[in-house]
Amino acid sequence: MSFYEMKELLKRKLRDKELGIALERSKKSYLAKRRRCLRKYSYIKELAKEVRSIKERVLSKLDEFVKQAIDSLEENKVQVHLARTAEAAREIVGDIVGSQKLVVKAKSITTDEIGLRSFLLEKGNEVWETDLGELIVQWLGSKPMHFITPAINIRRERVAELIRENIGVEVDPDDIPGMTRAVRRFLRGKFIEADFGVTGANVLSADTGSLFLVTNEGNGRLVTSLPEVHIAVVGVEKIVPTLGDAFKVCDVIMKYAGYEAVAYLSAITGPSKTGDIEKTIVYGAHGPKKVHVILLDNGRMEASKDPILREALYCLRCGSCQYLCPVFDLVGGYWGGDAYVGGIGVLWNAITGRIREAMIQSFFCLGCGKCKEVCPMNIKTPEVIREIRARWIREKFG
Amino acid sequence: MDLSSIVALIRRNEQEKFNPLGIDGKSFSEWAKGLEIAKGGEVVFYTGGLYQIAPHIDLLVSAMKMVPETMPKEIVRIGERFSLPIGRIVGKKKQDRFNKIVRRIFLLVRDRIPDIGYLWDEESYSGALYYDIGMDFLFREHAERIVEAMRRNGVRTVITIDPHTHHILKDIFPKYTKADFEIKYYMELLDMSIPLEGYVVHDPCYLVRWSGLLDVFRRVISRVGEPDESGITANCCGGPIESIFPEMAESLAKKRIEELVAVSRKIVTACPICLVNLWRVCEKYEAQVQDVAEVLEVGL
Repeated sequence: MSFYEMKELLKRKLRDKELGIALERSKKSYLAKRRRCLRKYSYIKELAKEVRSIKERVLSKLDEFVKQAIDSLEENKVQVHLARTAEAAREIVGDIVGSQKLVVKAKSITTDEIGLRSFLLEKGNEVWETDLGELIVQWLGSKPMHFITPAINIRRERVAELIRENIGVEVDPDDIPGMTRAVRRFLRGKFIEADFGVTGANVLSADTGSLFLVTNEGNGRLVTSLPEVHIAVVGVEKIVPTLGDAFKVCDVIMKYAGYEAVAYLSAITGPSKTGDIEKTIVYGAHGPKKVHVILLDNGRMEASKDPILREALYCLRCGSCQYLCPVFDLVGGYWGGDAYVGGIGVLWNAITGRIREAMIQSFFCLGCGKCKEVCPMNIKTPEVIREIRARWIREKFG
Repeated sequence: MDLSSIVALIRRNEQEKFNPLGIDGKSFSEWAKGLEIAKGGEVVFYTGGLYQIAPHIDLLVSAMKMVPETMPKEIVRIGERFSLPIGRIVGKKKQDRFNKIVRRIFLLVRDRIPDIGYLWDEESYSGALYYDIGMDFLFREHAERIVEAMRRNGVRTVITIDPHTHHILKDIFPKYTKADFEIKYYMELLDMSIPLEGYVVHDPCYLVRWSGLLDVFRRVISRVGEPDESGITANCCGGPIESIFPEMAESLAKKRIEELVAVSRKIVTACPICLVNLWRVCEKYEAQVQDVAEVLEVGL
């Protein structure tokens, strides 16, 4: 999209009253929850600082930590694949899944980054997003509009219509629990019959090779335990040195996303196994027999060496910066990028090779600095965005 | 207006008038008419021209909104218009108001530093816009010329009067030039504390976040009303985006005004960009927006 087209799109969104109402409702609710969390758990700001320094340490020698993580994962009988590009990652997953299979997914921005759902669908698979918000996005054929709340731009009235159109169930637009029940019933069978469960991961501990998933709906648990094969696509920047560090990261993510503690904090260390009969280890007792981890580079390794772009790799995807950005407040995730939206999305566009897109989007940032202030990692998004502009202008106008 | 046109326009105006709007720099010192201020010296009062330029930005925005995006020829014509000395085009009343703010701040400062100097015709715009947009080549040249002018005039300490100029001089100049001056914001010199009951404060991003001067601001004004999102997490007025997306700037200003009038219709701020951008929409909300220097008059 050109700068002009983008501006026209945003102009339309500025006038979109429905969008305004949906964003206002979400932001209000988030702000109240966030304030409560930060007040009640006063240690969290210090813990966030500690997490930043943990991640600084990892990113200064990312190669080494990737190696350590691979060794630990393999020791756990996980099949590890290192994908340098989005295309390579898609191909790897495509080869594992094949076609004519049933795939259930948990919400993962990293899989959105590589366009995995549409790729698997094109290969002739049945693919279902199981996070309610992400399922709405799938039905709409649009993009996730927020890290935590992908359907942040959609009012409940529209959700009722989507359920009617896609599942054939009539629901009252004021009956949000009824809508949730209808989706639960619809997806139940998919979980049971699925051949593959696909997820991302919020953190990966290099010492134990444990994948962490921070979720609320419970779909993450089902996706990672019911199918025979679990495939996790994990950005290499998610690696932290130890299991203890991983818990710290999860705590910070939860609190800044507005949850005191999420309903389900899962740590997955290898496939399901039992040794209950004569101490003979058998894989796939009740959970997956196989676990694949695709470690995704897609520009991250290079960014970790760039003192400016490295900032984005600290991102925990808590969504604070999106909820509280004044521009996001008006136009939502229509600004920023495809998988990663808002100001932080501009940075991720630049990292994942979409430089032109990043440059165009960069001009819609106010540089007001609020995102940096509310970010648990204190990511210098406005400074990076300014630098992206400067690099572009230098190239274009000399 | 597309990006190339904006970059071209800014470049030409910089070449001709040493500021992005092509305004005749002579009008920058109008506020000082009748005052006897030494030229240069160890401590200088530095306006950076932002209060003086601000009412012109307002006009530029109104003009840009009228220009259809697909008419580059029209844009060039606007560029020509803005290369003229446009002090006469902007309403005199409006320009007077902004000049008065600068004059008031100067008098407050001179009370504390009686022999404070001023660069007069050698003072210029700070270059903040070039830096923000990412025109680093233009910014570096511009900044170096300012540093030279300060050296020529024996400057060691610079007193700034708006948050954008302050941040650029204090935090960015040292990264691009050999500037080693002491940079102080005028509020840091004030020992007054004016109670502002009945007012609500809009904290400028560049004052409280980029320059970290929230405490200083609150020492100068006390007992002022605060909107829901205030201080370090205050919402932006939208001003920074007005030169490339005036419609967005207006929507942001409206949103911010709504948050502010929920507390009071008497709004106080401390930045010419916030002042212009909030002021443009305040009438509809029956609100008034004032600069802190206008309110501090009671203390003079």
